[in-house]
Amino acid sequence: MNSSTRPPQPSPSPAGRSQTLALVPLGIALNLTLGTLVHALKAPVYLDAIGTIILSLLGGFRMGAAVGVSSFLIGGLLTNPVLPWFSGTQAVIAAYVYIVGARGGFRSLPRTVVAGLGLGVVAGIASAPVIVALFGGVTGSGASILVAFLLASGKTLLNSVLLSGLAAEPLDKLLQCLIAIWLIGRLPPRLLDRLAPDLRNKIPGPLQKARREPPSASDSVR
Amino acid sequence: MNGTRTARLRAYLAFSVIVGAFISNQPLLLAALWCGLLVPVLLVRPVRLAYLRFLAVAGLPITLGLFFIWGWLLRTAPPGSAGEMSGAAFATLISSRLLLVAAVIQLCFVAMDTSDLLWTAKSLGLGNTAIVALAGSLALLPEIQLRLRQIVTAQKARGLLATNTWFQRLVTFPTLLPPLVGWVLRSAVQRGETWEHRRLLDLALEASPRKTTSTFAFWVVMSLLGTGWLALNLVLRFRVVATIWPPLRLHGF
Amino acid sequence: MPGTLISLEGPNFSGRSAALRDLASVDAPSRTADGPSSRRLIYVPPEVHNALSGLASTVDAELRLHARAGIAGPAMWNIAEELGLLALDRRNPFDLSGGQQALLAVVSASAIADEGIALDCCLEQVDRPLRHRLLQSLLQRFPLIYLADNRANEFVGAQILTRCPPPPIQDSATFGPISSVAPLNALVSSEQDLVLDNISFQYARDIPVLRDVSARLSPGRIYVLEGTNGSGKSTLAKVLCGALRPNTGRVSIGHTLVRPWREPGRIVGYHFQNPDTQLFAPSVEAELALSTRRRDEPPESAERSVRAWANAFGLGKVLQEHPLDLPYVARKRVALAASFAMGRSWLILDEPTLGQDDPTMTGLAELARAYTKAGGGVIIITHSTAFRDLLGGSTLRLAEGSLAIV
Repeated sequence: MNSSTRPPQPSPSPAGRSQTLALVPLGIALNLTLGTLVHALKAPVYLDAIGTIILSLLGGFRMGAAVGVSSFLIGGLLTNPVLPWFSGTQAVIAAYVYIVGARGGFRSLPRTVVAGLGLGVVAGIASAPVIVALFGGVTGSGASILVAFLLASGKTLLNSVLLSGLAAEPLDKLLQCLIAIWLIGRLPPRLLDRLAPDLRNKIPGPLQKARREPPSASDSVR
Repeated sequence: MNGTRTARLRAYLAFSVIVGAFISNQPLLLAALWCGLLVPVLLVRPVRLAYLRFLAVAGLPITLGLFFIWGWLLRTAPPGSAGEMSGAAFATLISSRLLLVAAVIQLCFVAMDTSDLLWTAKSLGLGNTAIVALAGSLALLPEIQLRLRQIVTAQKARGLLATNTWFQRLVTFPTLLPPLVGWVLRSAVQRGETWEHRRLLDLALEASPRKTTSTFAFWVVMSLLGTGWLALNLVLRFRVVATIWPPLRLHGF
Repeated sequence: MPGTLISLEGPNFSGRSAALRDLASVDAPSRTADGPSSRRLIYVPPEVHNALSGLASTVDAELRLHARAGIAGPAMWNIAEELGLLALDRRNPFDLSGGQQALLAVVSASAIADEGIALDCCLEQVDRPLRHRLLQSLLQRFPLIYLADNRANEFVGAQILTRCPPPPIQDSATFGPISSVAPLNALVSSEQDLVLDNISFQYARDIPVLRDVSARLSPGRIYVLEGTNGSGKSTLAKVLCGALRPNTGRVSIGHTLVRPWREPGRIVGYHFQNPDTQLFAPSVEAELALSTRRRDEPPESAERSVRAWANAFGLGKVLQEHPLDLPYVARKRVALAASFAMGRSWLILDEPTLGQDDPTMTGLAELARAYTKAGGGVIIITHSTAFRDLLGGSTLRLAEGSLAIV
């Protein structure tokens, strides 16, 4: 019999179940709420993938993609039926963030900037065929004016959409990555540790809290 | 069970109308269907509100943009995209398609409350994990907005927020995000615990929707119409019937 | 045969919540062999808003959802009507007051329980007659009711049949007691009365909540604000601190008209009933610093202030913890400390004793008195008779939207 002097730890919920019940809805709700809010403010950014980015870092590609695709499908039902057509872009974002995150692409501020800009390029390329085939090049945002200008100067539709995407997307995605990393750093660390144990390898060092015993062994986070 | 069959009919109707709309390259036909769909959309209140919101947020800006670029600026359709047609016709094609797809999605799915939506998802074969995630997000969406209001009130009470001008509100908005997300995360974890402890999702999924057989017939009729629409567009676009029975080619099929 | 009410006694952080959760098997994985009809003891946490399903957009839908378990039958609907929940049937559960949410959470829990209910510090904010009726009804329906509540003495008096001492204290070294030694020198004391003149307020599309509320409140005194659940106490507090703008009426300090909504939180500070509403910073230290910051105060002085307030509330050892990582009782203390540390001339505390044991309650009363001695005015909203007796002070009663000084 072990004669350990440490008090018994409360058994944590299996991470998978808690993630499904708590993290995934949070990611979906973040995508939809922030995207809608920003759209209402008529700001020149989208901010509709912050949940996807956070969840891809916390829970991996499948979770991030599930969040991204579901949020756009649900958003299509609830607010804007244009969203579901861009679910593919959300899946691409999840894949990129997961791959880059696993390689330490968000571990410092300069790296996050580069990763964010790269995400913008990738997202722009992923969205272009949808905008061309389904929307005739027009999404109702300011980028459409740039598309018009490029078309008028003789470029093909696909090239015009790609170029205008490359002009607008990197800034938006960079902002989203910065906000996502900042938000993760401000979340309750012990709670986050329970939900996503391998997160600390992916986010910037200063944001990691040193692992300590919980303040009260008998009171789990409640 | 009629509830399951109605759910499947809704999904089928949405599917057939959307596929038909994307197959079609007849701008006037699409525009006509959109006008026809507007009638039920405007009659059913929750759908009307949702659709008007969609028009304001996306539908009208996209339509105006399309007419501006293709109808006025360039005056011709992009090469190779939809055959030979004028810019205005192309703009009509794309915008009608988007507006009618939005209308049919909202007609089929908007006027349902949470339990019915969950139940529909379950009857369409979505797995338990997906249902749980869907239920969680539907529960969280109104809560996030409520929490945001409460955080604004609380920050004011601490003297941390002056929101008298629009600019002040914009500048202080980022300070609301961390407590909002932290609180919602914590809340979501605890609520997940409540769901598991009380087995609430089982209860939510146990009962069938309140819709009765009177609407079942409606969805049957609509699904037949949807099938007709899909068939019509297959014929018009791909000359499907003509390949089956060549004599029809003489009649333009 | 009425059931047994078992009350778990003990100070804060002695493990009562953990014991209740264990009894109700909250943390055990779901047993797939048991069908949905198998229920056990249902646990209701102190954060009652997280005990609401979130799947129902009205009170009625919430009750019907739980009623689907088919266990309770008409008993649940009868008690829901008696407690006034059916009168709120079209309201959104998250828009209800704290006490109303507590009632809804417990009544809906009773619809799916068959062995009993475990109540963890969730009834203190419920009106006394309703609380009494609820417990009576639960005891008629269930063999076992477990209660962990610091105000249990005030609930049922002689009706408690069994008292169960808590397990040995596992870890109380992290949180200290509350003391009245606090840096109150930074308090902005007011020499003049706070005057409310015909204040009216209604939420859009609702019935009026406040109707021509008038009062003259003197600084250096404690006022206890009473009223039934949903009578508008929190709304009045929000109007006074400036978070809400009244539809009509005026607020003055002495003869000077003031407009609290233009500079919210500057004249009157407000501590919310739900602590989670007002935790904004990533650490306890940063949270207190938000309150103590003054433009002309040097950083060392501000830091000393933060430590002093943390120590006054027994939070000296958890300064670097994220507030949302702390247990409910501790979060409430952090929020209280942050409100006190603002040092406003007037401070409103909404149910400050929720979840706090008797020594903490006594410490809070002493702190409130020290605050008034330093020249501030304190208005306290509480359901606890013991706390009210400790405070002394004058009573303000809010009923049908009007205020009377008793």
